[in-house]
Amino acid sequence: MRAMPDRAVPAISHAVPLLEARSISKSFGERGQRVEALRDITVTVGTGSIVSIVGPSGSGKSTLLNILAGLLRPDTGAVLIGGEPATNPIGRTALMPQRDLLMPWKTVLDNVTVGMRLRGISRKDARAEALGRFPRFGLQGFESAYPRVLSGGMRQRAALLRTILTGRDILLLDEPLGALDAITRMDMQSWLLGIQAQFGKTMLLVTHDVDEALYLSDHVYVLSGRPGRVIGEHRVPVERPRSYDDTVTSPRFVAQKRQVLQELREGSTT
Amino acid sequence: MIRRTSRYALPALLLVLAGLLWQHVVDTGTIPDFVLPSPAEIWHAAVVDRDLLLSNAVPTLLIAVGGLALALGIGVSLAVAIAYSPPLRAAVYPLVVGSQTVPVLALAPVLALILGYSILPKLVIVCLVCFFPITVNTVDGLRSVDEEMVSLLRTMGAGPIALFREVSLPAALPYLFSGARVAATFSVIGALFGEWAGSYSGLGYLMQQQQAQFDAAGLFAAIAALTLLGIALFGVVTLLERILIPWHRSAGDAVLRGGNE
Ligand SMILES: Nc1ncnc2c1ncn2[C@@H]1O[C@H](COP(=O)(O)OP(=O)(O)O)[C@@H](O)[C@H]1O
Ligand SMILES: [Mg+2]
Repeated sequence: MRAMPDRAVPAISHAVPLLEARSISKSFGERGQRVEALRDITVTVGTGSIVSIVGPSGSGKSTLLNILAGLLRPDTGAVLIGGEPATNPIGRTALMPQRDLLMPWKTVLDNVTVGMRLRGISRKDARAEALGRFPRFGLQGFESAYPRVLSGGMRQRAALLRTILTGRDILLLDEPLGALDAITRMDMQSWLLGIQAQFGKTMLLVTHDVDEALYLSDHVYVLSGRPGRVIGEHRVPVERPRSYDDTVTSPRFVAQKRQVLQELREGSTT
Repeated sequence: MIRRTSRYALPALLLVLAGLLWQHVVDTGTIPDFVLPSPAEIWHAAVVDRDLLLSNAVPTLLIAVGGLALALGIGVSLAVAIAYSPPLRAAVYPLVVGSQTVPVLALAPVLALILGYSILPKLVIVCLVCFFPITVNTVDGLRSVDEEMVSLLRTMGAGPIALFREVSLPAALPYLFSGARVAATFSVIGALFGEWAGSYSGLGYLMQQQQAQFDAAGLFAAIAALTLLGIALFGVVTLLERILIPWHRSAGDAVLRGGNE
Protein backbone atom coordinates (compact mmCIF):
# COMPACT_ATOMS: atom_id res chain seq x y z
CA MET A 1 0.00 0.00 0.00
CA ARG A 2 1.92 2.98 1.30
CA ALA A 3 4.99 1.02 2.19
CA MET A 4 7.44 2.46 -0.36
CA PRO A 5 10.42 3.62 1.66
CA ASP A 6 11.01 6.74 -0.41
CA ARG A 7 7.41 7.66 -0.90
CA ALA A 8 7.77 10.88 1.04
CA VAL A 9 10.41 12.30 -1.27
CA PRO A 10 8.50 12.44 -4.55
CA ALA A 11 5.17 13.07 -2.83
CA ILE A 12 6.37 16.13 -1.04
CA SER A 13 8.89 17.65 -3.41
CA HIS A 14 7.07 17.30 -6.74
CA ALA A 15 3.38 17.58 -5.96
CA VAL A 16 1.80 20.86 -4.87
CA PRO A 17 1.62 20.75 -1.08
CA LEU A 18 -1.94 20.67 0.24
CA LEU A 19 -1.09 23.19 2.94
CA GLU A 20 1.68 25.73 3.07
CA ALA A 21 2.69 28.45 5.46
CA ARG A 22 4.87 30.77 3.41
CA SER A 23 7.26 33.22 5.06
CA ILE A 24 4.92 33.91 7.95
CA SER A 25 5.82 36.45 10.63
CA LYS A 26 3.67 37.51 13.54
CA SER A 27 4.08 39.85 16.49
CA PHE A 28 1.71 40.62 19.33
CA GLY A 29 1.10 43.74 21.33
CA GLU A 30 1.64 47.45 20.90
CA ARG A 31 4.86 49.18 20.08
CA GLY A 32 7.13 49.33 23.08
CA GLN A 33 6.06 45.99 24.55
CA ARG A 34 5.95 44.10 21.31
CA VAL A 35 6.36 40.32 21.43
CA GLU A 36 7.70 38.77 18.25
CA ALA A 37 6.18 35.30 18.12
CA LEU A 38 7.07 34.00 14.65
CA ARG A 39 9.75 35.07 12.19
CA ASP A 40 9.68 34.06 8.54
CA ILE A 41 8.22 30.58 8.98
CA THR A 42 7.78 28.36 5.95
CA VAL A 43 6.20 24.95 6.42
CA THR A 44 4.72 22.67 3.76
CA VAL A 45 2.41 19.72 4.26
CA GLY A 46 1.85 17.23 1.44
CA THR A 47 -1.48 15.56 0.83
CA GLY A 48 -2.02 12.61 3.14
CA SER A 49 1.16 13.17 5.10
CA ILE A 50 1.80 13.82 8.75
CA VAL A 51 4.04 16.76 9.51
CA SER A 52 5.15 17.72 13.00
CA ILE A 53 6.38 20.94 14.47
CA VAL A 54 8.55 20.65 17.55
CA GLY A 55 9.74 23.61 19.51
CA PRO A 56 10.14 24.85 23.04
CA SER A 57 7.21 26.36 24.89
CA GLY A 58 6.57 29.90 23.68
CA SER A 59 8.11 29.32 20.25
CA GLY A 60 4.84 30.25 18.56
CA LYS A 61 3.55 26.78 17.64
CA SER A 62 -0.02 27.50 18.70
CA THR A 63 0.18 30.90 17.04
CA LEU A 64 1.18 29.26 13.77
CA LEU A 65 -1.74 26.82 13.92
CA ASN A 66 -4.13 29.65 14.71
CA ILE A 67 -2.85 31.52 11.66
CA LEU A 68 -3.26 28.44 9.46
CA ALA A 69 -6.77 27.96 10.85
CA GLY A 70 -7.63 31.54 9.95
CA LEU A 71 -8.15 32.73 13.53
CA LEU A 72 -5.18 35.10 13.39
CA ARG A 73 -3.79 37.12 10.51
CA PRO A 74 -0.06 36.97 9.88
CA ASP A 75 1.80 40.29 9.75
CA THR A 76 3.60 39.12 6.64
CA GLY A 77 3.50 35.97 4.57
CA ALA A 78 0.62 33.85 3.37
CA VAL A 79 -1.34 30.67 3.94
CA LEU A 80 -1.71 28.53 0.83
CA ILE A 81 -4.21 25.73 0.50
CA GLY A 82 -3.88 23.48 -2.54
CA GLY A 83 -1.29 25.93 -3.88
CA GLU A 84 -3.72 28.87 -3.83
CA PRO A 85 -3.28 31.76 -1.41
CA ALA A 86 -6.12 31.68 1.10
CA THR A 87 -6.78 35.21 2.31
CA ASN A 88 -9.43 34.00 4.74
CA PRO A 89 -8.67 30.37 5.49
CA ILE A 90 -11.17 30.05 8.35
CA GLY A 91 -13.25 26.91 7.92
CA ARG A 92 -10.87 25.37 5.38
CA THR A 93 -9.08 23.26 7.99
CA ALA A 94 -10.09 21.53 11.21
CA LEU A 95 -8.36 22.73 14.34
CA MET A 96 -7.89 20.70 17.50
CA PRO A 97 -6.77 23.26 20.07
CA GLN A 98 -4.30 22.58 22.83
CA ARG A 99 -7.10 22.48 25.41
CA ASP A 100 -9.78 20.00 24.42
CA LEU A 101 -12.53 22.64 24.83
CA LEU A 102 -15.30 20.08 25.10
CA MET A 103 -18.46 21.94 26.01
CA PRO A 104 -19.50 20.96 29.56
CA TRP A 105 -23.18 21.54 28.70
CA LYS A 106 -23.24 19.07 25.82
CA THR A 107 -23.13 15.30 25.98
CA VAL A 108 -20.18 13.59 24.36
CA LEU A 109 -22.34 12.76 21.34
CA ASP A 110 -23.48 16.37 20.96
CA ASN A 111 -19.92 17.60 21.45
CA VAL A 112 -18.43 15.46 18.71
CA THR A 113 -21.21 16.28 16.24
CA VAL A 114 -21.11 20.04 16.74
CA GLY A 115 -19.07 20.59 13.58
CA MET A 116 -21.44 18.49 11.48
CA ARG A 117 -24.46 20.30 12.88
CA LEU A 118 -22.85 23.65 12.05
CA ARG A 119 -22.31 22.38 8.50
CA GLY A 120 -26.08 21.93 8.27
CA ILE A 121 -26.18 18.15 8.62
CA SER A 122 -29.35 17.00 10.38
CA ARG A 123 -29.16 15.90 13.97
CA LYS A 124 -30.21 12.40 13.00
CA ASP A 125 -27.60 11.93 10.28
CA ALA A 126 -24.86 13.53 12.37
CA ARG A 127 -25.61 11.22 15.29
CA ALA A 128 -25.77 8.15 13.10
CA GLU A 129 -22.39 8.87 11.57
CA ALA A 130 -20.79 9.75 14.91
CA LEU A 131 -22.20 6.72 16.74
CA GLY A 132 -20.54 4.43 14.22
CA ARG A 133 -17.19 5.92 15.21
CA PHE A 134 -17.56 5.61 18.96
CA PRO A 135 -16.04 2.12 19.36
CA ARG A 136 -12.95 2.99 17.30
CA PHE A 137 -12.44 6.03 19.52
CA GLY A 138 -12.98 4.09 22.73
CA LEU A 139 -16.02 6.15 23.65
CA GLN A 140 -18.83 3.64 23.47
CA GLY A 141 -21.09 3.69 26.50
CA PHE A 142 -20.38 7.40 27.01
CA GLU A 143 -22.58 8.78 24.25
CA SER A 144 -24.91 10.61 26.62
CA ALA A 145 -22.38 11.28 29.37
CA TYR A 146 -21.16 14.80 30.02
CA PRO A 147 -17.46 15.45 29.34
CA ARG A 148 -16.65 15.90 33.02
CA VAL A 149 -16.86 12.16 33.62
CA LEU A 150 -14.33 11.33 30.88
CA SER A 151 -10.71 10.47 31.59
CA GLY A 152 -7.96 12.59 30.06
CA GLY A 153 -7.41 10.11 27.24
CA MET A 154 -11.11 9.89 26.47
CA ARG A 155 -11.40 13.66 26.38
CA GLN A 156 -8.57 13.83 23.87
CA ARG A 157 -10.13 11.12 21.72
CA ALA A 158 -13.49 12.87 21.85
CA ALA A 159 -11.82 16.12 20.80
CA LEU A 160 -10.09 14.31 17.95
CA LEU A 161 -13.32 12.67 16.84
CA ARG A 162 -14.98 16.09 16.85
CA THR A 163 -12.10 17.38 14.69
CA ILE A 164 -12.34 14.51 12.21
CA LEU A 165 -16.13 14.76 11.98
CA THR A 166 -15.86 18.36 10.78
CA GLY A 167 -15.19 16.66 7.45
CA ARG A 168 -12.15 18.78 6.52
CA ASP A 169 -9.19 17.13 4.82
CA ILE A 170 -6.55 19.01 6.77
CA LEU A 171 -6.29 18.55 10.53
CA LEU A 172 -4.29 21.01 12.63
CA LEU A 173 -3.58 19.28 15.93
CA ASP A 174 -2.11 21.34 18.76
CA GLU A 175 -0.37 18.95 21.17
CA PRO A 176 -3.14 16.39 20.70
CA LEU A 177 -1.61 13.98 23.21
CA GLY A 178 -0.11 16.63 25.45
CA ALA A 179 -2.24 16.01 28.51
CA LEU A 180 -1.57 12.28 28.72
CA ASP A 181 0.77 10.20 30.83
CA ALA A 182 3.62 8.37 29.10
CA ILE A 183 1.99 4.93 28.76
CA THR A 184 -1.36 6.21 27.50
CA ARG A 185 0.58 8.48 25.23
CA MET A 186 2.50 5.68 23.52
CA ASP A 187 -0.70 3.72 22.93
CA MET A 188 -2.41 6.81 21.62
CA GLN A 189 0.43 7.56 19.20
CA SER A 190 0.02 4.21 17.49
CA TRP A 191 -3.73 4.63 17.61
CA LEU A 192 -3.42 8.07 16.03
CA LEU A 193 -1.37 6.62 13.17
CA GLY A 194 -4.11 4.07 12.59
CA ILE A 195 -6.75 6.79 12.57
CA GLN A 196 -4.76 8.83 10.08
CA ALA A 197 -4.41 5.84 7.76
CA GLN A 198 -8.10 4.95 8.10
CA PHE A 199 -9.43 8.43 7.40
CA GLY A 200 -6.72 9.48 4.94
CA LYS A 201 -6.38 12.89 6.54
CA THR A 202 -3.52 15.30 6.15
CA MET A 203 -2.16 16.24 9.54
CA LEU A 204 -0.03 19.05 10.81
CA LEU A 205 0.64 18.43 14.45
CA VAL A 206 2.42 20.34 17.14
CA THR A 207 4.29 18.65 19.94
CA HIS A 208 7.20 19.27 22.25
CA ASP A 209 8.00 15.56 22.39
CA VAL A 210 10.78 14.67 19.93
CA ASP A 211 10.04 10.89 20.03
CA GLU A 212 6.44 11.57 19.23
CA ALA A 213 7.28 13.87 16.34
CA LEU A 214 9.72 11.44 14.76
CA TYR A 215 7.54 8.40 15.33
CA LEU A 216 4.38 9.91 13.89
CA SER A 217 5.63 12.06 11.06
CA ASP A 218 6.85 12.03 7.52
CA HIS A 219 8.44 15.37 8.10
CA VAL A 220 9.53 17.27 11.22
CA TYR A 221 10.18 20.98 11.53
CA VAL A 222 12.18 22.25 14.49
CA LEU A 223 11.41 25.73 15.79
CA SER A 224 13.74 27.92 17.82
CA GLY A 225 12.77 29.68 21.02
CA ARG A 226 11.01 33.04 20.69
CA PRO A 227 10.76 34.36 18.09
CA GLY A 228 10.05 31.02 16.45
CA ARG A 229 12.16 30.35 13.36
CA VAL A 230 12.63 27.08 11.49
CA ILE A 231 16.06 25.84 12.56
CA GLY A 232 15.79 22.26 11.41
CA GLU A 233 13.89 20.16 8.90
CA HIS A 234 13.89 16.38 8.86
CA ARG A 235 12.41 13.81 6.57
CA VAL A 236 11.62 10.57 8.37
CA PRO A 237 11.94 7.83 5.76
CA VAL A 238 10.38 5.01 7.75
CA GLU A 239 7.80 2.93 5.97
CA ARG A 240 4.30 2.49 7.29
CA PRO A 241 2.78 0.87 9.16
CA ARG A 242 5.34 1.66 11.80
CA SER A 243 5.81 -0.43 14.91
CA TYR A 244 6.59 1.75 17.87
CA ASP A 245 9.33 -0.36 19.43
CA ASP A 246 11.10 -1.08 16.12
CA THR A 247 10.94 2.52 15.04
CA VAL A 248 12.18 4.24 18.16
CA THR A 249 15.07 1.82 18.64
CA SER A 250 16.34 1.89 15.06
CA PRO A 251 19.79 3.49 14.67
CA ARG A 252 18.44 5.93 12.11
CA PHE A 253 15.74 7.11 14.53
CA VAL A 254 18.20 7.50 17.37
CA ALA A 255 20.61 9.49 15.22
CA GLN A 256 17.81 11.76 14.04
CA LYS A 257 16.58 12.24 17.57
CA ARG A 258 20.04 13.25 18.72
CA GLN A 259 20.21 15.81 15.93
CA VAL A 260 16.79 17.29 16.72
CA LEU A 261 17.59 17.51 20.41
CA GLN A 262 20.82 19.30 19.62
CA GLU A 263 19.00 21.77 17.39
CA LEU A 264 16.44 22.40 20.10
CA ARG A 265 19.17 23.01 22.66
CA GLU A 266 21.06 25.40 20.41
CA GLY A 267 17.87 27.10 19.24
CA SER A 268 16.71 27.90 22.73
CA THR A 269 19.94 29.66 23.76
CA THR A 270 20.21 32.04 20.81
CA MET B 1 -26.02 10.20 52.66
CA ILE B 2 -24.63 11.55 55.91
CA ARG B 3 -23.92 14.91 54.31
CA ARG B 4 -27.38 15.05 52.85
CA THR B 5 -29.08 14.47 56.19
CA SER B 6 -26.90 16.89 58.10
CA ARG B 7 -27.59 19.56 55.52
CA TYR B 8 -31.17 19.72 56.67
CA ALA B 9 -30.78 18.40 60.20
CA LEU B 10 -28.41 21.09 61.46
CA PRO B 11 -30.46 24.14 60.50
CA ALA B 12 -33.60 22.36 61.72
CA LEU B 13 -31.98 21.66 65.06
CA LEU B 14 -30.92 25.30 65.35
CA LEU B 15 -34.48 26.41 64.57
CA VAL B 16 -35.95 24.09 67.19
CA LEU B 17 -33.49 25.33 69.80
CA ALA B 18 -34.28 28.97 69.01
CA GLY B 19 -38.01 28.17 69.18
CA LEU B 20 -37.63 26.52 72.58
CA LEU B 21 -35.67 29.47 73.91
CA TRP B 22 -38.29 31.84 72.54
CA GLN B 23 -41.11 29.82 74.13
CA HIS B 24 -39.26 29.84 77.43
CA VAL B 25 -38.66 33.59 77.40
CA VAL B 26 -42.36 34.28 76.81
CA ASP B 27 -43.62 31.58 79.25
CA THR B 28 -41.53 32.97 82.10
CA GLY B 29 -42.92 36.46 81.41
CA THR B 30 -39.55 38.01 80.59
CA ILE B 31 -41.29 39.53 77.56
CA PRO B 32 -45.09 40.02 77.77
CA ASP B 33 -46.97 37.94 75.19
CA PHE B 34 -48.88 40.90 73.69
CA VAL B 35 -45.49 42.24 72.62
CA LEU B 36 -43.95 38.96 71.56
CA PRO B 37 -46.31 36.03 71.16
CA SER B 38 -44.86 32.61 71.85
CA PRO B 39 -44.33 30.04 69.06
CA ALA B 40 -47.25 28.05 70.44
CA GLU B 41 -49.56 31.07 70.21
CA ILE B 42 -48.39 31.79 66.66
CA TRP B 43 -49.04 28.18 65.66
CA HIS B 44 -52.49 28.43 67.22
CA ALA B 45 -53.21 31.65 65.30
CA ALA B 46 -52.03 30.06 62.08
CA VAL B 47 -54.35 27.10 62.56
CA VAL B 48 -57.34 29.28 63.44
CA ASP B 49 -56.71 31.73 60.57
CA ARG B 50 -55.62 29.13 58.04
CA ASP B 51 -58.37 29.93 55.50
CA LEU B 52 -57.63 33.63 55.78
CA LEU B 53 -53.90 33.01 55.38
CA LEU B 54 -54.41 30.72 52.41
CA SER B 55 -56.83 32.97 50.56
CA ASN B 56 -54.50 35.94 51.03
CA ALA B 57 -51.35 33.98 50.17
CA VAL B 58 -52.73 33.28 46.68
CA PRO B 59 -52.72 36.91 45.40
CA THR B 60 -49.31 37.51 47.01
CA LEU B 61 -47.91 34.44 45.31
CA LEU B 62 -49.37 35.50 41.96
CA ILE B 63 -47.78 38.92 42.27
CA ALA B 64 -44.43 37.44 43.27
CA VAL B 65 -44.42 34.90 40.43
CA GLY B 66 -45.73 37.37 37.85
CA GLY B 67 -43.20 39.99 38.87
CA LEU B 68 -40.43 37.41 38.86
CA ALA B 69 -41.36 36.29 35.34
CA LEU B 70 -41.37 39.91 34.17
CA ALA B 71 -38.03 40.48 35.86
CA LEU B 72 -36.59 37.41 34.11
CA GLY B 73 -37.69 38.68 30.70
CA ILE B 74 -36.52 42.24 31.27
CA GLY B 75 -33.42 41.27 33.25
CA VAL B 76 -32.11 38.81 30.66
CA SER B 77 -32.85 41.17 27.76
CA LEU B 78 -30.98 43.95 29.52
CA ALA B 79 -28.10 41.60 30.23
CA VAL B 80 -27.81 40.61 26.57
CA ALA B 81 -27.90 44.28 25.54
CA ILE B 82 -25.28 45.21 28.13
CA ALA B 83 -23.00 42.29 27.30
CA TYR B 84 -23.09 42.72 23.53
CA SER B 85 -23.37 46.45 22.90
CA PRO B 86 -20.67 48.73 24.32
CA PRO B 87 -22.78 51.88 23.77
CA LEU B 88 -25.75 50.29 25.51
CA ARG B 89 -23.48 49.08 28.28
CA ALA B 90 -22.23 52.62 28.81
CA ALA B 91 -25.75 54.04 28.71
CA VAL B 92 -27.72 51.37 30.58
CA TYR B 93 -25.44 49.83 33.18
CA PRO B 94 -25.21 52.93 35.41
CA LEU B 95 -29.00 53.26 35.27
CA VAL B 96 -29.44 49.62 36.20
CA VAL B 97 -27.23 50.11 39.24
CA GLY B 98 -28.89 53.45 40.00
CA SER B 99 -32.33 51.83 39.93
CA GLN B 100 -31.35 49.86 43.01
CA THR B 101 -30.86 52.99 45.06
CA VAL B 102 -34.50 53.98 44.53
CA PRO B 103 -36.18 53.50 47.92
CA VAL B 104 -38.78 50.88 47.05
CA LEU B 105 -40.64 51.42 50.31
CA ALA B 106 -41.22 55.05 49.33
CA LEU B 107 -41.90 54.26 45.71
CA ALA B 108 -44.69 51.78 46.45
CA PRO B 109 -47.30 54.31 47.65
CA VAL B 110 -46.46 56.65 44.76
CA LEU B 111 -47.03 53.85 42.27
CA ALA B 112 -50.25 52.88 44.01
CA LEU B 113 -51.37 56.49 43.67
CA ILE B 114 -50.57 56.60 39.96
CA LEU B 115 -51.59 53.08 38.94
CA GLY B 116 -54.37 52.47 41.45
CA TYR B 117 -55.03 49.45 43.66
CA SER B 118 -54.61 47.05 40.74
CA ILE B 119 -51.98 44.32 40.38
CA LEU B 120 -49.91 46.60 38.13
CA PRO B 121 -48.02 48.72 40.71
CA LYS B 122 -47.18 45.57 42.66
CA LEU B 123 -45.75 43.87 39.59
CA VAL B 124 -43.62 46.95 38.95
CA ILE B 125 -42.25 46.85 42.49
CA VAL B 126 -41.45 43.14 42.35
CA CYS B 127 -39.84 43.56 38.97
CA LEU B 128 -37.75 46.46 40.23
CA VAL B 129 -36.30 44.49 43.14
CA CYS B 130 -35.91 41.25 41.13
CA PHE B 131 -34.38 42.18 37.80
CA PHE B 132 -31.13 43.45 39.28
CA PRO B 133 -29.58 40.18 40.54
CA ILE B 134 -30.72 38.50 37.32
CA THR B 135 -29.17 41.14 35.07
CA VAL B 136 -25.91 41.46 36.94
CA ASN B 137 -25.36 37.70 37.13
CA THR B 138 -26.34 37.08 33.52
CA VAL B 139 -23.97 39.82 32.33
CA ASP B 140 -21.17 38.13 34.29
CA GLY B 141 -22.14 34.81 32.73
CA LEU B 142 -22.16 36.15 29.19
CA ARG B 143 -18.78 37.73 29.78
CA SER B 144 -17.32 34.55 31.26
CA VAL B 145 -17.49 32.86 27.88
CA ASP B 146 -14.32 31.01 26.90
CA GLU B 147 -12.94 32.94 23.93
CA GLU B 148 -11.01 29.93 22.70
CA MET B 149 -14.21 27.93 22.56
CA VAL B 150 -15.74 30.70 20.49
CA SER B 151 -12.71 30.63 18.17
CA LEU B 152 -12.95 26.89 17.77
CA LEU B 153 -16.60 27.05 16.79
CA ARG B 154 -15.81 29.84 14.35
CA THR B 155 -13.40 27.49 12.56
CA MET B 156 -16.37 25.12 12.25
CA GLY B 157 -18.42 27.81 10.56
CA ALA B 158 -20.45 29.19 13.48
CA GLY B 159 -21.85 32.70 13.02
CA PRO B 160 -22.91 35.10 15.79
CA ILE B 161 -26.31 33.50 16.33
CA ALA B 162 -24.95 29.96 16.45
CA LEU B 163 -22.22 31.13 18.84
CA PHE B 164 -24.81 32.64 21.16
CA ARG B 165 -26.95 29.52 21.06
CA GLU B 166 -24.13 27.00 21.39
CA VAL B 167 -21.74 28.77 23.75
CA SER B 168 -22.77 32.07 25.32
CA LEU B 169 -26.25 31.11 26.41
CA PRO B 170 -25.39 27.74 27.97
CA ALA B 171 -22.33 29.25 29.63
CA ALA B 172 -24.48 32.02 31.13
CA LEU B 173 -27.34 29.81 32.33
CA PRO B 174 -25.80 28.78 35.68
CA TYR B 175 -25.14 32.46 36.40
CA LEU B 176 -28.66 33.38 35.34
CA PHE B 177 -30.07 30.81 37.71
CA SER B 178 -28.08 31.97 40.71
CA GLY B 179 -29.43 35.45 40.01
CA ALA B 180 -32.93 34.04 39.71
CA ARG B 181 -32.64 32.22 43.05
CA VAL B 182 -31.79 35.46 44.81
CA ALA B 183 -34.57 37.21 42.90
CA ALA B 184 -37.06 34.53 43.98
CA THR B 185 -36.55 35.40 47.63
CA PHE B 186 -36.71 39.13 46.89
CA SER B 187 -39.95 38.70 44.96
CA VAL B 188 -42.03 37.90 48.04
CA ILE B 189 -40.70 40.93 49.88
CA GLY B 190 -41.43 43.07 46.83
CA ALA B 191 -44.99 41.75 46.70
CA LEU B 192 -45.43 42.57 50.38
CA PHE B 193 -44.24 46.16 49.87
CA GLY B 194 -46.62 46.53 46.94
CA GLU B 195 -49.59 45.25 48.89
CA TRP B 196 -48.74 47.28 51.93
CA ALA B 197 -48.92 50.46 49.86
CA GLY B 198 -52.47 49.80 48.77
CA SER B 199 -54.54 46.71 48.14
CA TYR B 200 -57.71 44.88 49.11
CA SER B 201 -56.14 41.44 49.34
CA GLY B 202 -52.89 39.60 49.90
CA LEU B 203 -50.75 38.90 52.93
CA GLY B 204 -49.63 42.54 53.00
CA TYR B 205 -53.24 43.65 53.23
CA LEU B 206 -53.98 41.03 55.89
CA MET B 207 -51.04 42.18 57.97
CA GLN B 208 -52.30 45.75 57.90
CA GLN B 209 -55.64 44.53 59.27
CA GLN B 210 -53.92 42.48 61.94
CA GLN B 211 -51.73 45.40 62.90
CA ALA B 212 -54.77 47.61 63.35
CA GLN B 213 -56.23 44.96 65.66
CA PHE B 214 -52.99 44.47 67.64
CA ASP B 215 -53.10 40.83 66.58
CA ALA B 216 -49.41 40.08 67.19
CA ALA B 217 -49.77 36.30 66.88
CA GLY B 218 -51.66 36.71 63.59
CA LEU B 219 -48.93 39.01 62.27
CA PHE B 220 -46.29 36.44 63.07
CA ALA B 221 -48.35 33.74 61.38
CA ALA B 222 -48.52 35.90 58.25
CA ILE B 223 -44.76 36.45 58.39
CA ALA B 224 -44.29 32.70 58.61
CA ALA B 225 -46.53 32.27 55.58
CA LEU B 226 -44.45 34.83 53.65
CA THR B 227 -41.28 33.00 54.61
CA LEU B 228 -42.71 29.73 53.38
CA LEU B 229 -43.66 31.37 50.09
CA GLY B 230 -40.10 32.64 49.66
CA ILE B 231 -38.63 29.23 50.41
CA ALA B 232 -41.06 27.56 48.03
CA LEU B 233 -40.18 29.93 45.18
CA PHE B 234 -36.49 29.42 45.86
CA GLY B 235 -37.10 25.68 45.70
CA VAL B 236 -38.99 25.91 42.42
CA VAL B 237 -36.18 27.90 40.80
CA THR B 238 -33.62 25.40 42.07
CA LEU B 239 -35.70 22.55 40.70
CA LEU B 240 -36.01 24.27 37.32
CA GLU B 241 -32.25 24.71 37.33
CA ARG B 242 -31.73 21.00 37.91
CA ILE B 243 -34.06 20.15 35.06
CA LEU B 244 -32.90 22.76 32.56
CA ILE B 245 -29.16 22.55 33.10
CA PRO B 246 -28.49 18.96 34.12
CA TRP B 247 -24.79 19.26 33.31
CA HIS B 248 -24.44 21.74 36.14
CA ARG B 249 -24.79 19.10 38.81
CA SER B 250 -22.62 17.05 41.09
CA ALA B 251 -20.24 14.66 39.39
CA GLY B 252 -22.06 11.72 40.99
CA ASP B 253 -25.28 12.51 39.15
CA ALA B 254 -23.43 12.80 35.88
CA VAL B 255 -21.78 9.41 36.30
CA LEU B 256 -25.15 7.78 36.86
CA ARG B 257 -26.63 9.46 33.81
CA GLY B 258 -23.67 8.49 31.65
CA GLY B 259 -23.79 4.86 32.73
CA ASN B 260 -27.52 4.35 32.38
CA GLU B 261 -28.44 5.85 29.06
N1 LIG C 1 -3.03 36.72 21.75
C1 LIG C 1 -1.76 36.97 22.15
N2 LIG C 1 -1.44 38.19 22.61
C2 LIG C 1 -0.17 38.46 23.02
N3 LIG C 1 0.83 37.57 23.01
C3 LIG C 1 0.56 36.34 22.58
C4 LIG C 1 -0.75 35.97 22.13
N4 LIG C 1 -0.71 34.66 21.76
C5 LIG C 1 0.55 34.25 21.96
N5 LIG C 1 1.31 35.24 22.45
C6 LIG C 1 2.75 35.15 22.75
O1 LIG C 1 3.41 34.61 21.63
C7 LIG C 1 4.39 33.68 22.03
C8 LIG C 1 4.12 32.33 21.40
O2 LIG C 1 2.97 31.73 22.00
P1 LIG C 1 2.38 30.34 21.55
O3 LIG C 1 2.06 30.38 20.11
O4 LIG C 1 1.27 30.00 22.46
O5 LIG C 1 3.61 29.37 21.80
P2 LIG C 1 3.65 27.78 21.95
O6 LIG C 1 2.34 27.23 21.50
O7 LIG C 1 4.79 27.36 21.09
O8 LIG C 1 3.95 27.49 23.38
C9 LIG C 1 4.36 33.64 23.55
O9 LIG C 1 5.38 34.46 24.03
C10 LIG C 1 3.02 34.21 23.89
O10 LIG C 1 3.07 34.89 25.13
MG1 LIG D 1 0.96 26.07 22.47
